[in-house]
Amino acid sequence: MSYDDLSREFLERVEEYRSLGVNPLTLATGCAVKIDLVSVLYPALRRIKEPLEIEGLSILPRRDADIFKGSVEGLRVHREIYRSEEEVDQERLIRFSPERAVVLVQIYQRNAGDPELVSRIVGGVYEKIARSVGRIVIGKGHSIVSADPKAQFMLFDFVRVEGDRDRLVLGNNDTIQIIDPAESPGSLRQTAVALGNSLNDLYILGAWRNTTIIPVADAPSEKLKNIIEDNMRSLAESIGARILRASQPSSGALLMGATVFAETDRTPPMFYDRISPGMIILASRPFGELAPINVYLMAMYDRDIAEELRRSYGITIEKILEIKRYVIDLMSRPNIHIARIIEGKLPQIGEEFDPSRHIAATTDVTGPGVYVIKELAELSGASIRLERIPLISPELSEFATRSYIMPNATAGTNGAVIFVASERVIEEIEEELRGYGENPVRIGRIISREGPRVLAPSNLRRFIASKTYLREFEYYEVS
Amino acid sequence: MSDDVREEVLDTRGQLCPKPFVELVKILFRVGEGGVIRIYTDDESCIDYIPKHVEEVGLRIESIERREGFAVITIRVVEKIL
Repeated sequence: MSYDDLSREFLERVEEYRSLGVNPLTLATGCAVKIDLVSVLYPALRRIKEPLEIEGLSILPRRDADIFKGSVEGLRVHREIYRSEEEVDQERLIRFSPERAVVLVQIYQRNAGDPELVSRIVGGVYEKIARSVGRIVIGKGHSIVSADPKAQFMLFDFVRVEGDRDRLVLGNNDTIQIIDPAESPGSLRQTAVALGNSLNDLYILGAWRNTTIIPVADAPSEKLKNIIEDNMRSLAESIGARILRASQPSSGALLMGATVFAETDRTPPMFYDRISPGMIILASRPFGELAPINVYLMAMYDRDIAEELRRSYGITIEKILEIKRYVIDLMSRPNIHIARIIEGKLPQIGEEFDPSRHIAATTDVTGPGVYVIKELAELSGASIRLERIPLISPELSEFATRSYIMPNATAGTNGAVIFVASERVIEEIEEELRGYGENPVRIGRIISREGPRVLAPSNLRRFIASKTYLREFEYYEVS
Repeated sequence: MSDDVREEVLDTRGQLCPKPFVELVKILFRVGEGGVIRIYTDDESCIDYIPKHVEEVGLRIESIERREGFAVITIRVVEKIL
């Protein structure tokens, strides 16, 4: 197909989104900004944390998933959606008597840049909940921004734990608005990316058994919302998961994802103090999925950008399309096979960690991209030498950086999984990953425990424009 | 990506996000280190988004001037990524 044909098809799809009241380009290029963790969310939470703790509500520090003793069978989950503190029904909450909650906060864009405002919006609801139920733990929160003022809400999946507490339950919530504007908003692949994104934070901790999915779906029409929920059901079936029905937000803004729970009888790979020199850092596959998607959007939107890419890197629009399709396929594939590999290399609850048999730590390459390696260094106090930056398309990541399209062109979604383990364990993981058709790459190693540093190859600057990220690394020259 | 232009004015009034952002990216292809771009936009999403994005990618916001019904965002290319 010619550029004109491809572009026309793309813009027709964009019009379909617009007719639903959604501007997919705005969503996909990031014009709908996320709540900034450092400048907004953390300061907002700091303002309210202490007074809420006095009332009995604890907000746990940011982590991949909420982790607590219990079993999925013994979980009782009740969803409430509040647009303001006035909507908190205290009597209903007292009757349910939750111990903890997984929370999704969607804030109107204009309010999302002001920590004071965010703390007031969120704090009022939290305070009323705390006054209703006494002690409660907010184990996991997910915060997003909407360009629609009517789409501001807080969604709580309240949890009460009954029965045995000899296993661990992991819980998470994640959502996306749209991942590929070239596809229908109700396509199975869009929903698969959204669900995979929610599950990944459980999978990287080795939890997949008795997976329970409580979908989050909002859309400009009931029909589309039903399609997204139907997609969730068939995806759940494909991974042997159970679906729980729950009320849904009805703001009319496109949103898809899920609160998910799974259980494990192993201790999750968070043995940060056991990370030691000589351990290897392995990526389950190359990463940087968001660069091809963003460059594709820009190139389809404007011929000059496609032309610049062809002139600078010799990459045609057909090639971009091929890479973009590959990336969406990768992102829509659930990582349950990786969860199984991880589970097999974890100690039973109560068993001692053994570096010759167990994985010390895992993470996944998401929005911060390769910066997750620095986060690992911070958590473990270890110094890391990063030796390779395996990107799905180094050319498109470099173009996204040089064109100032993305601050961090190593970023992913539902991304590659990072393992830290001894050489022997890494060899086993590599073999198992290859058996599942993955392409694992050793990206670095632990060099000491003399403080959290990451030595990175100087070519990292070709893929990250953001000074905030770049200054987190020390560099060594590579040819 | 040539970079010999020192100053550009981009009037995107009447255009909705992400069009002004796309036009900014195209101009950045040719504006050299030290160069200045002034964007006129009346799209509130862009007025919020462009300054945030520009700072994230290592460029500098010199000023954001609110006028009647639109804003002028002045950006300096402090460093070209090679």
